[in-house]
Amino acid sequence: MQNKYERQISLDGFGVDGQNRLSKAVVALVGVGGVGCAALPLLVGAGVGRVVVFDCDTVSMHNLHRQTIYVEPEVGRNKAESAAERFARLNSDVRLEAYNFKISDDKRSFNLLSECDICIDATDSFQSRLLISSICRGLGIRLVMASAEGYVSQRICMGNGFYLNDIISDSGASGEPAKGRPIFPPAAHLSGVLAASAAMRSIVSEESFNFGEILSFDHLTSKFHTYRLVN
Amino acid sequence: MKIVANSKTFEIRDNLKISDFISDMGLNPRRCVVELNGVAMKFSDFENLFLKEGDVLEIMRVVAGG
Repeated sequence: MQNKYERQISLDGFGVDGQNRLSKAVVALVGVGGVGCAALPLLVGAGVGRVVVFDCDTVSMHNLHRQTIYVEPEVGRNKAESAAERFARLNSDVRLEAYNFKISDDKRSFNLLSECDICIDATDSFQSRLLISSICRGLGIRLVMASAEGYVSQRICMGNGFYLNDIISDSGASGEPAKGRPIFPPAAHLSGVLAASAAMRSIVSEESFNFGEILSFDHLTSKFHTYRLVN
Repeated sequence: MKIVANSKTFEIRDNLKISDFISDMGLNPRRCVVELNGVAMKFSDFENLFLKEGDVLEIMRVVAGG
């Protein structure tokens, strides 16, 4: 029987050891909207051992232009449950858990995130992102923030004492809910792909994770820019 | 004096702080990171820095959407 992972195991720097690390890893994915729905199938397909998905939102018709894992008959369904149901069939090696609640500063959120090796923040507001960042700082776990707006995709790699409130010093941001601003569908997906890439690389090769690296891609100019805030 | 910001040339007044330049562009500097002549900085690093002739600035507004 063919090994389902042979095309990634054969990569330089990956190997059987990398696959074993992936299979033992626990990744939290907070948010399965435009960004998270691009990251989730990559994590599951690659064989991350346990993927813990959080989202309390329901599928809306105006989500479907970019949240393409959902279909029209699912409007009104919880996103975490729908996404987990869909991708459970992608890879039976993966333990995929769905939590229909919003991450908050409580024991349940803290306990679940404390079981994770790395967290991907794919939410949609500074309010949620600063909270997730604060929890991850308290737990000392790695955090990949993936976001998009307009024609821009962004990814920020955090941990090792560097978290979101080190770069967002606006006191109003922590109370700011989702804005529902215009968004180019590929911008959301690219952020999710970049987040999955950073998380998987971090698991396979810990030293590959660049704390303080901020990556931005402008879909209008087709230009990437990388900022390195921590050396 | 002239500076370059996000690949465009700007004629600016003397004694202009980076944070004020960003505000003048309609952005909140407390939600931006910049790269000044190749060196990345967060707000607390650049809030008291003044622009100089020939500076090359890259400004990124951190976004939260998804």
